Amino acid sequence: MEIPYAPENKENSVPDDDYLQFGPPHEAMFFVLAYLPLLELLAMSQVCRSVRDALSNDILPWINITVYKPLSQRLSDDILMKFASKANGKLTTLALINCEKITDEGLQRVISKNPLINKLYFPACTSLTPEGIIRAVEALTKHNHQILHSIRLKINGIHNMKKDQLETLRSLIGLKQTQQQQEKRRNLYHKHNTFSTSTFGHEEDKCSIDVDICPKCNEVRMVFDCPMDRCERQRQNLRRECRGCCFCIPRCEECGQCIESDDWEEAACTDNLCSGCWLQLPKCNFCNRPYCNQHANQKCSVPGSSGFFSEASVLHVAGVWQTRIISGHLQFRCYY
Amino acid sequence: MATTTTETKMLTLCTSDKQQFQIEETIALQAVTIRNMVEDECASNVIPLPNVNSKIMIQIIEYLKKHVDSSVSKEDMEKFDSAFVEKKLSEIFDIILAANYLNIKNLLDICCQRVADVMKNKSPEWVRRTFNIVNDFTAEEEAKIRKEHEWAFEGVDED
Repeated sequence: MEIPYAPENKENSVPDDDYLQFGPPHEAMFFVLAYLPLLELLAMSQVCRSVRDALSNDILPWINITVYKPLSQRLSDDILMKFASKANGKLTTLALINCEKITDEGLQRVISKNPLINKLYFPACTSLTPEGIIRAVEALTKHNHQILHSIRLKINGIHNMKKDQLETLRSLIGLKQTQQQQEKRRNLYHKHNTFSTSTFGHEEDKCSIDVDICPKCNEVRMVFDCPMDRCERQRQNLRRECRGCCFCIPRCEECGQCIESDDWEEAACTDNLCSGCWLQLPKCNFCNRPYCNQHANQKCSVPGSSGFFSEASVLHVAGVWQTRIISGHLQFRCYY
Repeated sequence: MATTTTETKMLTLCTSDKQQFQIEETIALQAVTIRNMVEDECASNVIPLPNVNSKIMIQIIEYLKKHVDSSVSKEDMEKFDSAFVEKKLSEIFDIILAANYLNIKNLLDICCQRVADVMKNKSPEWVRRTFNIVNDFTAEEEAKIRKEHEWAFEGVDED
């Protein structure tokens, strides 16, 4: 079954006869709906009637709700409630990434109507409090003990989470001290950022709660392990493992390896890199600093020049150029 | 496809364009639909798959062969998966329908996720143009739905 298709890459964008045959969406498109974050679902509902109808009649696309930037900044309690109601109480994943406006009350309202939620991801939802999250988890586990062990929490970036509050959350979802120890698997720094690129709902995640108590500073933070079997820290003192939050042990953004104080380089995106990774990454033509892969989209290219410039360099150069234009020394075209 | 040995049990799959594929049973049984057919003994030696053509079947067998191999590490499997979905979207769409029919959950997941990633932060107009979808809304309907979602669409990529 060949469906006419607009090629997505420029190199194969030779228009053929099929190219102009517009029609109803491919049947497979309706399967994809369930994998889309909220903003894309809203965009899809404006594409054509059949997709709009599927979105207003089917539950499936609304079982996992994921909200990223830029929508996260605009999502209010009322709007969230409206979309959380579309799954008729069958909502299972609520992934709100950096949704600053969502409050404890808003969350509680969603939870009370959706008892089946088992993935609660609220990284950097700064209006939520530890008490609000405890209340939400309490409400979920009170009547439904089956859900208990399947609950996954991501609460990194919720302010003022205390150790006893983390313990309360752990006991609420049935994590006993011994299980906690067993559950400990290697949590790698350079891997944790990659989760944001794919939809949370389909990610295989064995860790029940993303934060832990840092063995070094004793605060509730994300705690990372060293990806190397034997790093310098472990060699020097075997009892002091290379495990801690990113404040206690700085790590390379690319490989997750711990960085010794005299052996790190700054990337153009101000992340830290180990010298090995720094050497391998392409550098800015002006300031000779690389971007880590996560921020590679910040590279600025200039027509007629190979390589790239960092944002800071472009701003700096543009500033200098502007001054020179004003003082009448030079005439040239600024591309930025 | 593979050479028959006396120990391994083989299954023959027959696609919509009447091509026959002989593959090891353990590989084929990862598809829940095929497993059910074999368990219910409703298929004899040849399993008919009228919803899958040979072009797509070759790719699905490639996927299943990799995933049956338990010696492959998790990282390598992820690498294989992300390389596997680097195909033209028209092909991915056909694989989605086949994966749904054959009931191979992970394959359905990675293919749908690939399309979802492409659509990230895109406008309705972009989606129509890229996927050749005709806009069948009346002007009033379009205005109504746009008004409804007005709050969400500022700063979305035009292309």
